[in-house]
Amino acid sequence: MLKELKKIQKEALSGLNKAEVLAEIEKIRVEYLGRKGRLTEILKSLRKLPSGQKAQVGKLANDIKNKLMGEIENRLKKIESRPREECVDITLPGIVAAHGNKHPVTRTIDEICDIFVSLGLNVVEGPEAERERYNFEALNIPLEHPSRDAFDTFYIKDDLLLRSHTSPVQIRVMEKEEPPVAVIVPGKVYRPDAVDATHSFMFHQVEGLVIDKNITFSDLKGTLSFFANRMFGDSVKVRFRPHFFPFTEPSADLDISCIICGGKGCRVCSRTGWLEVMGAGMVDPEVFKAVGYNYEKYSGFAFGMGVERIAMLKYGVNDIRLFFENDLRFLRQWR
Amino acid sequence: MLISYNWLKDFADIKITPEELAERLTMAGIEIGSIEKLKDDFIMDAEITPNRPDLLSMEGIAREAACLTESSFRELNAESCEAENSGESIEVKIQVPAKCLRYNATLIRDAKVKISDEKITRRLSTLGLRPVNNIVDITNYFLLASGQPLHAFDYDKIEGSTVVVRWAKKGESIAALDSREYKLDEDILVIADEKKPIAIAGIIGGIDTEIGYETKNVLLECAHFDPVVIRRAARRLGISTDSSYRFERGVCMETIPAVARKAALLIAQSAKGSIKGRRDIFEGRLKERSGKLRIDEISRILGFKISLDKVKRILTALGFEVTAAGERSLTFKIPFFRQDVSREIDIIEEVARVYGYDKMPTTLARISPKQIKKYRSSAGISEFRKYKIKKMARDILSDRGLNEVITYSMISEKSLSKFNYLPDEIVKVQKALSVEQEILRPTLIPGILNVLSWNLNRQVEDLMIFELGDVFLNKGGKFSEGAALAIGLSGSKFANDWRIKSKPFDFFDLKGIVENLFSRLGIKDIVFKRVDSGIFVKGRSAVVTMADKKLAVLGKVESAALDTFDIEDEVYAAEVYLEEVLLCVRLVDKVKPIPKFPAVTRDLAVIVKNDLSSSEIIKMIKKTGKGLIREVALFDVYSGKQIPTGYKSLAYSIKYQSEKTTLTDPEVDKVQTEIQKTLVNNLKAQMR
Repeated sequence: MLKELKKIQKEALSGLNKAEVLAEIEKIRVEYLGRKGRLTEILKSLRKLPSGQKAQVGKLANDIKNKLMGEIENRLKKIESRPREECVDITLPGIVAAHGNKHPVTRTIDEICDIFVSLGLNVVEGPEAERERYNFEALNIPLEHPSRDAFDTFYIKDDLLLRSHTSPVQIRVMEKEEPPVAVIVPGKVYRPDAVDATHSFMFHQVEGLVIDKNITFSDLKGTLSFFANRMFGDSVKVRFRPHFFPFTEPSADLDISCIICGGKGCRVCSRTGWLEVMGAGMVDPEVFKAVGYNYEKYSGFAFGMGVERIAMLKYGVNDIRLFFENDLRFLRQWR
Repeated sequence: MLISYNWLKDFADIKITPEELAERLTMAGIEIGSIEKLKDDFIMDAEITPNRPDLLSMEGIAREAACLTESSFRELNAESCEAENSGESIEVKIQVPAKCLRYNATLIRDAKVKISDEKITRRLSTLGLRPVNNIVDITNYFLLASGQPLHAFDYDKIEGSTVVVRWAKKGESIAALDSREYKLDEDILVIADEKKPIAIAGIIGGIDTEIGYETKNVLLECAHFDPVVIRRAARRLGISTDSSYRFERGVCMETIPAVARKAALLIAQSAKGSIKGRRDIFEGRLKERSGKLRIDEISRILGFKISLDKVKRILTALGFEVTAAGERSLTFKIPFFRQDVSREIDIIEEVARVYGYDKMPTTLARISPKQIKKYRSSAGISEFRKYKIKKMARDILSDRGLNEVITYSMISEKSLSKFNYLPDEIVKVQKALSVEQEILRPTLIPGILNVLSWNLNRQVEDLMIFELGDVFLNKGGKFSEGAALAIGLSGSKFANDWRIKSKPFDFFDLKGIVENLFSRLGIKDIVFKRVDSGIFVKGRSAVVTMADKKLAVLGKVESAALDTFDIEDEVYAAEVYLEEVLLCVRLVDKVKPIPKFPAVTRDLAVIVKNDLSSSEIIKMIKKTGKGLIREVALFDVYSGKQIPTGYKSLAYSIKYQSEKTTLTDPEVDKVQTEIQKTLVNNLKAQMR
């Protein structure tokens, strides 16, 4: 009998420990403590026991009953204190605040400027409506020479035009400040080009100018390579190719290995493996003369790049017009 | 310009492959865009920069190639050639000597015009020129070989056998070899006979004196014309020829007699004619030019040292003649064909280019901290601060859920038709590309409306957009440009919250965005005043001011204005005058201590006439509150049942708080009662 009781205790307690829901606990209570429960039956049968055993068995049975009741109570409390289930469909959409974003052109300008600002250059802006002197003459662009073709622009009235590049701001900065100067100039520029997938009569440029004693072509190379790798990635190769600009000498075009094909040659890089991303050069002595800087004492480099072109390469945009149509399905892709 | 690899070999012993040569040329500044194999030749497409007219010939490219590959080079005109005037006299009258510094004419008689021999035909067609006949082809052949344009006239068709170089007369015209008729003007230079123009100088010949199969006597012209005159005429007439392209950039005067002689000889040979007369009129002077190069200047500009010996080798290979070499400098003669070279820096560029940019060191520029205090705008704020504030404004609005757009600065006149601009305030663009881009925008709102329209027409709805950019205006006859910012809302909010019904944007959504922007830029004491103006609906628009400075306008856009943009939906728009705002921004505020004593909140509901503004009630409450009121917040606006028509009920929650003590209920009650009394007495309010 005692053995039987111990077995009941063991089974009841282990069953109770495994019970996770109220129904299971109730089932155990009925099984052992119900009117016909196994422990109840034993307690009922105590009368029939010889008196010698009665006290011993009775005590154990009552102890087990108390213990079991206590355990049931504990278990109930434990289960009830658990967080209750609330059955929401957690796949319903979360409430996301409508997100806005900056225009890809602004974003690219910020990316470019941030890199140069980290090198110590200052952001400076200038007017879009410019005087002829700033857009042409002071930059050593003769009025009637084929080298001016690349800088054709819109006139507003005599001696007032929409700048065809951001370089006029170089002149404005140098006229106002003595060397050293180090500036980065983002802004809109205008050229009377017929609009197609790669041409727009309005686009953006970022211009840079660094002038001090002992600024060299090697500095130009190093500084712009640093930029190119920050902007396009460490694995990009950079090369400098001689070119011509009226306001710099020596002048260079900066090419990066094609970020579409990795330099193997594709449609985007015209199978050359290289992409031209900016023009640069040492500031021409004529420009120094125009602003009254001493060329024997100071030297410097300038550079300029088209923002849309860089954004198109970097983000795989194939038509420049997309930037100015402002279709939100295009713009919202820049998160 | 197209280059024939085989033709280059006439001049230079190039031993590398076309691909290698293309790479070398590219890395020396003659960018080769493509190489194409054509039978046994390779055709390269080169971009020649406008400073290098000497490269607009096979000879020029070959000289460069020889220098880059350290191979030998043979000039086209190896034997020097003196100009001569001999044989039959040829009448040449130069009426504008300043614009035609040299005119060389050769008369070849008894020529037989026929098809050119195979070599010339092949070379011309290889480089994209259509063979015509042996005479014309030889002129073209020398143009490609030497860069010097030549022209052949049928001498018998020149009336009076006289060649005159003069300005065209008003009303004159010429039928040219391209079968077009050109109307000439007084600043266009022509070659004429006694009666009429027979060629547009340096650009194209006339059809009347064209070389045909019946031609017997040929007058060969080899001249120099002023680049600006040619460029102007070519632009005016809308024509560009191989000849004008070269004259615009500048051809070398020195070699004219030599090229003329060679070409004439070849013509005489090919056409079995004989050279009967030569004439060379030279009004200019060939100036020997020399230069000096300091070795220290090379390292100052380029940042590395190079030996004088190396420099000497480079310059010699490019056709310069080193006349003296010191320890730290060189002097040299500049060849005539290098008109682009005159200064020391020009020579440094040559050295750098040939030496190879890729071989130079790379260093990071040392930026001087001394420049940090510079770059202040006229308004006294630094350029950096201006840029930072603009960037902040963009961040604030995009964080707030708006998408930035960038529209064209030029807009149509029509898009402004509903705005109140005076005609002389508007800035027009000369020679606009189309009517859509005639005007420099005086406001950003048309651009915003265009973007809304574009998107709505494509079923892209629920739009919140902004643009930041410059606007242009003539103010009292004075042109001005300044930054502005515009906002546009259309559609509904809460569109992506499935728990609540979406709600159309209204005035207060827009106002909230504007308030957000100003508060985050540290602009506090702004006042919204009702204004009825421009393109906004009466009663639903406001102007934002601070100390009487106008900072922004905002409102619901009138449907008549929206019609211009084909918009049927409601639109709310604002324009912020950024130039003014920039001056009001306070980026740093000192923090205030956290209040030490608890606050007590009391509600207050009043019924007032509809036209009484809430801001006036709040002003009155604060004024009466004796400095104990920390905040007054509106929490309900109601009109309808229980409220008489023409009236509205406004409910405020007033937060009382003292900096010195804990306020007791009786203290607060006292102030609250006083406020109620004041509102009743002064604003005729009824308490609810």
